Amino acid sequence: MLSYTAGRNGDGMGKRAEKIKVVAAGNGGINILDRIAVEIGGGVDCIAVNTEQNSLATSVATRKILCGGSAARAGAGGDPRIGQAAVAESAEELESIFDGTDALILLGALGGGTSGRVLAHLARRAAARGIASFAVVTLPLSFEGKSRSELASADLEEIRGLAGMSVVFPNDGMAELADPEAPLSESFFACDVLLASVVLSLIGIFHGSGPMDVSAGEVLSALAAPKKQTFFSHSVAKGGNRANDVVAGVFRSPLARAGLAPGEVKRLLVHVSAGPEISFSEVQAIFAQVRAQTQGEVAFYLGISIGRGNREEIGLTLIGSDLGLPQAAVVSKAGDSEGVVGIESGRSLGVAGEKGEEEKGEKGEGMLPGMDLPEESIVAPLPRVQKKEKPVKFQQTMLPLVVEDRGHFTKTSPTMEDGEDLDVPTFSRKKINLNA
Amino acid sequence: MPKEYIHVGLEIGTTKVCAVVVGVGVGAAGAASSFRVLGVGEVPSRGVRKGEVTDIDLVKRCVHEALGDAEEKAKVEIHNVVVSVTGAHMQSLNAIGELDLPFEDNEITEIHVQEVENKAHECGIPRENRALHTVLQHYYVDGQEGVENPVGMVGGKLEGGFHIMHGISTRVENTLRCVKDLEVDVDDVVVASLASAQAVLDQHQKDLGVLLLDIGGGVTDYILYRNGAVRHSGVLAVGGDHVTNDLAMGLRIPTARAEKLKCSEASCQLEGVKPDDTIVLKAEGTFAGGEIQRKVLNYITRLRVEELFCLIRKKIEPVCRMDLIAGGVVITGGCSALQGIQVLAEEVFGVPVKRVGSGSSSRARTWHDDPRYSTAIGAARHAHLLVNDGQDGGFFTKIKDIFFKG
Repeated sequence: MLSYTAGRNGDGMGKRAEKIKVVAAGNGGINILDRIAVEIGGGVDCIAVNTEQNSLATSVATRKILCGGSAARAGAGGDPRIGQAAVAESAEELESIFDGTDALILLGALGGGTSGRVLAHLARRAAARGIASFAVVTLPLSFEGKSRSELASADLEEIRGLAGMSVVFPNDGMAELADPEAPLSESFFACDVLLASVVLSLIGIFHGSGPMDVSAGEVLSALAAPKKQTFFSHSVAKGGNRANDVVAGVFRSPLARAGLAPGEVKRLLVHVSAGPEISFSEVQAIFAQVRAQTQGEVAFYLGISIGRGNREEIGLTLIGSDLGLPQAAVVSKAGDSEGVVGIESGRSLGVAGEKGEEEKGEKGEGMLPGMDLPEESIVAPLPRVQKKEKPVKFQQTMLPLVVEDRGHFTKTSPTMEDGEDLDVPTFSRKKINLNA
Repeated sequence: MPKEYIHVGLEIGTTKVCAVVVGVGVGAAGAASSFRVLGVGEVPSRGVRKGEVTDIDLVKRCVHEALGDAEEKAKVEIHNVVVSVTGAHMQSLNAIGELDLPFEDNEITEIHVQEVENKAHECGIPRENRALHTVLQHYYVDGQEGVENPVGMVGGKLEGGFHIMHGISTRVENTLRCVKDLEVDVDDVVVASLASAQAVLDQHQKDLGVLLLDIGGGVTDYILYRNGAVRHSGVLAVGGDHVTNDLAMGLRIPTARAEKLKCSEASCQLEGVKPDDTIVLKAEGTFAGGEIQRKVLNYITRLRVEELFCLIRKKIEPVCRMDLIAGGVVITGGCSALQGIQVLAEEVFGVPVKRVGSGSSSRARTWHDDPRYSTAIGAARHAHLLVNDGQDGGFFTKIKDIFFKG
C-alpha cells in the first residue's frame, strides 16, 4: 500500500507523506545531489550510485552504492559496456533502492559510462514495479565530442521511454546561466544550482500539503507521455508583485527552453507552493497568466501546496507534455475517497480545465486514481500513443511568446475577469499584431 | 424667506481629488428651488489606485489641498463633506424582505416597513462587507406590485424589494480616514455610481430605464435603473488609465506621453483614418520623440474601450435585456471625453447613447456639463437629500454609526 497518511483537518489542509528517494548516478549527478542534500532535509533518502569509489567517499549522500565492485572501481572510463556490467553485478543492491519507495527522482549527467546505464536500469525497474520515476539529466557540452553526444542521446532516448518524466538540460545552455567569461567551475556551479532547483521543486510538489496537493502518480497522470518530450520549468519570486514575477521567471528560465515550447503543450500541471498568506487573487493571476502562454486546447492540472519553504516566496512549477487531451490513461481503481485528489479539486476550482473547450473528462478520466491503491495498481504502464515520434529536439531556439507585461499596473492587484488579467493590454491578451 | 444651504461633495478618484461646493436654495415649503455650484477645488490624485487608497498620507495631503482650493474658490469654510467611494470591492444584490402581518392588526406601519428592510438585510452579504445603501425598488402588499408607500394600507403580507450596495468595510474606512484626520466631518458616504446618477439622470430617464457608465481613470462605475428603481450596479476596475497603459505599451512611449496623446489625438473610431496618417511626437525630457501611425493609435484605444463596454454589457444582460432600456446609455466620467466613444458605445449596446456635456454649446457650459465632476456634484446633491433624512435617524445616521462609532 502507498504510505499516505491522507486526511483533511479542520482548516482544510491535508497532510501526506510520500516516500521519495533521490538517486544520483555518476560524478555529475552526485555533484548536484551533494549541493541539495542539506536543503532537501529529512523525509527524503539521498542515494549516490557510482562506479568510482573516490567520488562516493566525499559525497554527503545518506546511502552510497558502489556499483560493480569487481567490474569497476576507478570508474567506467566513459565506456557504457563497463557501466552496464557494473549495473548487472550490483543489480541486487540497486533493487533494494525500491524498498518502501513511492517515487524516485533520478539525477545524472549523461554522456559518461555510468550515469546513463544506472539511470536506465533504475527507470526500467521502477516502471516494472509501478513506481513513479522522474529523471533530471544534463547533456554534455557540444565541444566535448560527437561520441559523447551520441552516447548521451542514446541514453536519453532509453530513459525517456522508461521514466515517467524527463527534465533535460543541455550543458550548452550554461552560457545563459553565468557570464561566458566566468571560470568554467562557476558555470557548472550555476548549472548544478538550476538542476537542484528542479529536484527541490519536485520534492516540494510531492511533499507539499495544501488545499490542492499533488502526488507523484498525479504528476504522471498529467504527463502520461513516456518517450515524449516534456515542458518543465520552475521559478521562485517574492515581494509585492510576486504573482506576476513568478510567472515571468518561470517562462524566462533556461529550463523552459530545454524541452517543449509552451505553445506545444497539451497537458500542463501548474503547481504553486507558498505560505499560508497566499491569496486567491494571486493564485488566479498566476493561472490566468500561465493559461495565456498556452495555445489551442490544453488540459490543465492544478496543485497548490501551502506552508513549505520561505513564507514570503511563491514557487511555481510547470510540467507539461504534448500528448493530446486526457483519455483513460491511468488505472482508475478508486480506493478510500478520504484524501486529497488535487487534480480533481483543481477542476472544480473553476480556474482549471481545458483551454478552448469545456471539460470533457469525468472523474477518473485521464485524472487520478484514489489514494489508497494496491501497490501493483498505482500507476499502470501508460498507453503509448501510436504516433510517429518527433525527432529529438534538445534546445528550442526561441520562445514563441513572452510573458504578458502589465506596464503601469505592475504593482497593483490584477483585475481578473473570466480568468483574464484586464491590466494586461487588450491587444496583447487577444494576441493582435498591431503592425499587421 | 428662502434659505441657501451649503453642501460639499468630495471625490477621491484615481486621477484627481475633487471637492465641489454647492449652494441649494430652499423655498418656504422646504423644496429645493435652486442648485448652483459655488466652487470646485481640484488637485491631481496621489496614493490612489483603481479608486482605492494605497497611501493614506499622500491622499490626506491631496484632500487637504483640494478642500483648501474649494474653500478659496467658493469663499466658504468647509466643515462637513459627503464622500463618494468606489473600488472593485463594491458589489450589489437585489433582496426581498417579507413580513406576515397579524390578521387582527393588519394596518401597515412605519415599524413594519422598517422590519421588512431589516429582513432584506439578512441576505448573504459577506461578513467583512457593509451595506452602504439599501435602495428601495418597490413594495408589494399581498402580491400587489408597484406600491410606493404601503404605510396606512392593510394587508396580510408586506414585501419589499431592495437593491443593496455593499463593500468591504475596512476599505471604505480607509478612504474616510483620509478626511476624518483633517478635522472635517464626513456626513455620509455615497457609492460613486449612485452619486453620478443623482447628478446626471432625471426621474424620467430612470422611469424609462437607463444605464449610466461613469468611466474614470482607474475604474468604471455603472448603475442600471428601470421603472424608476435601481436594478443593478457595480464597479469594473478598468478605466482611462488602462487606455493610457495600452497606448504606452503598444506604441512604446512613456506613460505621461501616452496620457497626453489619449486626451488630444486618440479616438475609438477607425473609419476615415488614412493609412498614411501619422502623428509626430516631439522629444520631451528623456523621450526622444518619434512618429506613430494614427490607425494604430485608434486601434489600441478602440480595442480597450470596446472590451470595457462588452464586459459591462455582459454584466447587465442577465438582469435586463439591452433593448428594454428605453432611456439608453448615458456616459460620464473623465474618460467619456474620448473621441468616438459615443458611436462605439452605440455599436456595442445597440441603444442610443448620450454623453454628458456633449449637447451643450461652449458658451452655455456649466460645471454640470463637465463629465469629470459628475460624481462630486452628485455627492453634494446627496448631501442635500440627507438634510431631512438625518433628522429622523435615516440612512445617514446609520452610516455614521457604522464607521464613526467609538
